[in-house]
Amino acid sequence: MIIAEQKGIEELIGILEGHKDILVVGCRSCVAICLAGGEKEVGVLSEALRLHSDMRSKGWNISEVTLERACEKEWAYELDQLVEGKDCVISLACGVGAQVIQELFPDVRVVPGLNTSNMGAPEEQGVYNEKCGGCGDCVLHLTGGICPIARCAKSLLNGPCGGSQEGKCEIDPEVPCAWDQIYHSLEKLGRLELMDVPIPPKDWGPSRSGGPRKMVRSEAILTDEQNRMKGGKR
Amino acid sequence: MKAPSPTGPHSAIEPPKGIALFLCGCNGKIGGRISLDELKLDAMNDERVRSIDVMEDCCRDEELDRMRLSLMTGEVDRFVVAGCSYKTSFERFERLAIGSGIDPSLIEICNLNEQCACVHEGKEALEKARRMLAVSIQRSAMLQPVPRTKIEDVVRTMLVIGNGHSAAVASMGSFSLGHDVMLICPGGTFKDESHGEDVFTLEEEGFDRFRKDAGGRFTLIESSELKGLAGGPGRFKADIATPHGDIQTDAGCVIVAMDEEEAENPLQTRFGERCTDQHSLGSMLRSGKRPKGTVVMLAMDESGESAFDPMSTHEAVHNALYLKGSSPRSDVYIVTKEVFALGQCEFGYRRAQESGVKIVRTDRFPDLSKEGEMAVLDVHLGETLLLRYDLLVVDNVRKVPDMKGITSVIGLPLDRSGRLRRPNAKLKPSSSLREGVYLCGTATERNLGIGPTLEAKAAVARASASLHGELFAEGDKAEVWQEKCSACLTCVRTCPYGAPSIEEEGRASIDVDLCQGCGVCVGICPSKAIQMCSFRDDQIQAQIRAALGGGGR
Amino acid sequence: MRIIALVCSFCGYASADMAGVTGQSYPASVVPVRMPCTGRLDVSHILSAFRNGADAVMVVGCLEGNCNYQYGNIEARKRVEQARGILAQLGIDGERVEMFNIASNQGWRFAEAVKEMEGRVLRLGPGPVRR
Repeated sequence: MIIAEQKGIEELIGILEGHKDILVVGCRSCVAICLAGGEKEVGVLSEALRLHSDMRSKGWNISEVTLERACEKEWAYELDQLVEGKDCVISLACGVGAQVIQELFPDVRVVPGLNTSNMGAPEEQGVYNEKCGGCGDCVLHLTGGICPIARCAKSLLNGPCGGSQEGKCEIDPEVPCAWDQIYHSLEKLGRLELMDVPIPPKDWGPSRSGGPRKMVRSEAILTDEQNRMKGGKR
Repeated sequence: MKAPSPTGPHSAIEPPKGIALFLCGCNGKIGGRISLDELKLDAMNDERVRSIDVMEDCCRDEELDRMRLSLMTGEVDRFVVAGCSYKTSFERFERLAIGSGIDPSLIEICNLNEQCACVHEGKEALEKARRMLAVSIQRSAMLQPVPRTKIEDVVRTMLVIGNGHSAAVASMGSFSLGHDVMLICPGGTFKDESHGEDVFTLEEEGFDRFRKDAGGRFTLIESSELKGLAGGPGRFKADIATPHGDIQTDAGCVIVAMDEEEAENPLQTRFGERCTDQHSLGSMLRSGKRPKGTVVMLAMDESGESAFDPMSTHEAVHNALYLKGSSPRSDVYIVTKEVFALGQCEFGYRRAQESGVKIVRTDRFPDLSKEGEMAVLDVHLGETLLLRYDLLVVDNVRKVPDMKGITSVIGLPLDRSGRLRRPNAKLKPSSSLREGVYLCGTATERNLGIGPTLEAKAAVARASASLHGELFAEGDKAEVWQEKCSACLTCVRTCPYGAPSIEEEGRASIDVDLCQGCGVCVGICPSKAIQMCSFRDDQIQAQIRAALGGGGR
Repeated sequence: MRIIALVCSFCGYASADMAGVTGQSYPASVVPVRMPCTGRLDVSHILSAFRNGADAVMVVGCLEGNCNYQYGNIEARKRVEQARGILAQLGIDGERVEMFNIASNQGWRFAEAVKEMEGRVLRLGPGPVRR
């Protein structure tokens, strides 16, 4: 899932300068699960901002709502009535959700309340590790199910480098060396011979290097004809 | 598409029909320090409060009658008593509510006695009382009926799970209090081994005699295992795998009475023939044989620590006393670091000393390098004593049986030594983490310190008492507002009782039989999808505002 | 002065009772609000107390290891810490909120705790919002 954390409240207060009617929007998806932007966090942040407003007599009018999935237009469109009269939306959805909201409501300024970090997984409650680099050309089958792109500091495809010490990465003794983990995983799988097979230079085209990515599933797209034939809304 | 909005189906709280307010003077204890008339004037300005009675003392029965009349006017559906602590008065007003046709979950008690009149005076006391009463009226106004279902046919059968003495005592005790008993023994054949304690407790009639008396009202199933436990007090359903096939049985309460099992003391193998353990010595004495010569009992382990096990001392003292009694001229020593003489054993300990058993206190493991001789430092004399012995008696060593099956089925945690953990020995002795399941037996964490027999009796007493009177299911437990749930697993990970789980529909759900209503999940749920009927966020926030003199948002 | 005491239904509430029974004296500025367990606490409860005019907030639960519900009080401690972090960012001294673990028979400690909080308010001045 997408891992994010809240921006500092001081920073947010700075960004909010000049605004008055503020809607705090959360999301019940990834960011709720990583305890950054669900309804609870929306409530806490809103209450903190109200407290600040009351302390400084700012007269902010703060309302709150939490969407099912801010990254989908239909859900995000639920804000329709709520953004009316607002001059600012603080998005506690991930960067994706924030953009979808801005796109749908171009007249209101959307302020990110979160710093969206990575695609990861909870190690345990409250601890989140990055797992996937979204490179668009997966090699996990060669690397014992451990992503060298996201989990090796150098994104080496043929590691480890000389900085691997006792299973830890040289950047930080707390960070495990991905290639050490890959070795042990392959050992358990009985596929250590894969360590000897060089992974050829990777096609970074499908990654960010090829510019923003767009994925099209033609069979899922409703044709114009279908849309014409459909009854009801949209 | 319907978004889960803050105005979901659960969010609205019905306004109250009317609140009855009772201001108790507590015989001057409150009325003498706080002007109840002032409080009355405040409350009269609140349109939610329909009746106000100033009482001399709510503890008097005639006052209770007056209160009942005020509650039966049809104008009110709830009441606030401003009197003493809810801890002491709740049950009384709960009965009043039921008798007056008021839902007992709509009672609020404002503690103007211990938490106000006892500690403050004058203007300060009045001001605090005003704020406390405002909180209580606010709370009362937002209370909702708590769902609860009366259990019609309360099952009174006790299900005892155990392998030895504690289970025998628990079974006999339950039967003597009028319960049918089913005893399942996970370990194989059932043995009532009393560990030498009963000499001091005396009254046991013996397990075999009990089985005859109980006839069909007691069932012992050996080599069987608990496979499932659903429901709560008065209506448990237990699945048991027996050698004759799987059975399901109803039970009112479950008493887990697992004892430790016998194991070999490593000291015994080291010292061979001249050495025995307390248990074997006991059997020998009971069969009429006597050891020859000097007997030295070593009541400690190899690290020089006395086993923190009162039973070791019991057995040593008991055997020593027995020996001295039957051959007064024999020499008997007990070498130990500390004597744990609990309950009746204290008398035995004194009698042992009076009859000439010598008790040597030491702080370390003695030197036993010469056969038949022990060099031990007596800490009181400050000298090393040389004790020649013909028989060395060491402690019984017991091991904790494997209880992973029981713990996973019932949901009970183990402590570091593999014993069943007691959740809170002070507030809830004999209780387990699961409501309706009680603990005793030596394979349970030791902190009651009253010996296995009394612990088993205590567990029986608590279990039996819990089945008296009316029993209710549900109550103010955590409830998932499923349309908000993200199935994030936070509640599943955080709950101390394993009550939440993710259902087939992919939303969390709370097992009301496992939930104990602490609200930890309510406070941590990132989607605010869990609430408790009487401790919702909006209720708590409103009380905080009332305490600070505010009204709405 | 206004101090809110969020007390659990077990030792928190009972220690306040015990303070009364044993004749302790403590400032009348404190008003208790009862929760089932301090584990029910939400950070926003603390924030809204300050927004509504509290000078200090005290959370009173059982001694650690003695929580009626295993570890609700440990959860509460973490949430109080979190609230302090937020208050600090708003320029409010974190000392205005405190977690106390008091046994039901320690009435004197409840009284001490209230005195402690009142002392802090006297030192730090009135709360962030006056109502």
